[in-house]
Amino acid sequence: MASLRDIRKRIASVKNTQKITNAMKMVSAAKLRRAEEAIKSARPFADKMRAVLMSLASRANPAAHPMLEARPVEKALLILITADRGLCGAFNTNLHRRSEAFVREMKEKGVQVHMINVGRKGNDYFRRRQVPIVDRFINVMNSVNNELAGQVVAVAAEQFMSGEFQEVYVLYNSFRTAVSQIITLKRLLPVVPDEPDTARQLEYLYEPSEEELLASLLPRYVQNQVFTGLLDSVASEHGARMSAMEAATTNAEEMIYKLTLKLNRLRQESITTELMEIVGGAEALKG
Amino acid sequence: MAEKFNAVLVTPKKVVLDKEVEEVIAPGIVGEFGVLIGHTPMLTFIKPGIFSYLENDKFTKFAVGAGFCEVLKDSVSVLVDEAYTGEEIDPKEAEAELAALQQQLSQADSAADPKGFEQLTNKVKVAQAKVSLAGG
Repeated sequence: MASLRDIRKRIASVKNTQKITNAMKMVSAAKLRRAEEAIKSARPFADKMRAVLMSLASRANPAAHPMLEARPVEKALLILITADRGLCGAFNTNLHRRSEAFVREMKEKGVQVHMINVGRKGNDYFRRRQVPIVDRFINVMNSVNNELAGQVVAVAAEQFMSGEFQEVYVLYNSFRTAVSQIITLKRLLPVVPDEPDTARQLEYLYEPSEEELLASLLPRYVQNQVFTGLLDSVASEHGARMSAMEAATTNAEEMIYKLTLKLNRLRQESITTELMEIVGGAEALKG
Repeated sequence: MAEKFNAVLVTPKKVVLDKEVEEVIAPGIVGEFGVLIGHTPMLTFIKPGIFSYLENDKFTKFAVGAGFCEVLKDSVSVLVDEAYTGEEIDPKEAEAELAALQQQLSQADSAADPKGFEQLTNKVKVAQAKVSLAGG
């Protein structure tokens, strides 16, 4: 049976935890606002770029650039974007589970998957598993920028262009609202149009030339896709952490309420027992 | 009044322009070009310079960075690294920026770091466009 002192101590401890979770919630909320703005302003550009590239890819000859060429797949590269830190609910766990499923799916098709990990959590998880890691970028989520995306893409593109890997995928949490993230798996390379529209063979001018445009735009497109993925992931992470910490704060509140109730009950009980003892003692003396 | 078409100007930071316009003039890599409705579909690079569009007989100008542009029958999409309107630019600041960049450029070695040199050249051109836009 817990003593009064024990319960008081626990209440104090839960209160401290609550202060921490509440502070983390506030911090995440502030960071979320900035991250949300970043992703929302980056999306139109990325969407437009995707649209242009898709229409370009649907017209271009796949042999015009190595990044357009679909080859028989033996090895695939997965870029997994996770968070650097935990305490954000199922954010990382969901990604781990999805990537394991992906590795299994590909294995059934006879494709071996290697990984590039962006974010410490994913790296920690897959370090001890049977998936070869090509490269890792850890403790980078605090300062996501285009250079980081460039570094990631440089590694992936080199592996792809050298023929080592025939496909490159990217997996990350895509930001919808503060409380909902959607796990997104995209094929990054080769760049294959969603629906090849051979019907729409319009006259089309390229300046200076189709090859030069492809050579310059494709790498930029891929980098932009990874960059938006990173921004998405950062915003999602803060959103996930905010709701996780919100839940933790509410739980702490509930716990404090229950413990206080228990404490008061115990205190009253002990007072009643003491009174009974005094009354009993007095009666005994009288008799 | 000329028939209108949709023009979009986006940078990685925001959508700068998305409206119905009558004409667009953009700095293409092989020379400045104008686009009216019904233009032949085209894809081209944009070099740093002045981008403008015509709406109600009035030209509105932007200083833009490098990027690319897709022209379709009924729309124009311009994707550039940066874009500024005339009001956004402080003439003095722009001039100071240009001077600083030109200083850097004169010291830079094009042989040692061709990529960096090209980036710097581009920056100078953007700064020049900003100055000319702010000046009038």
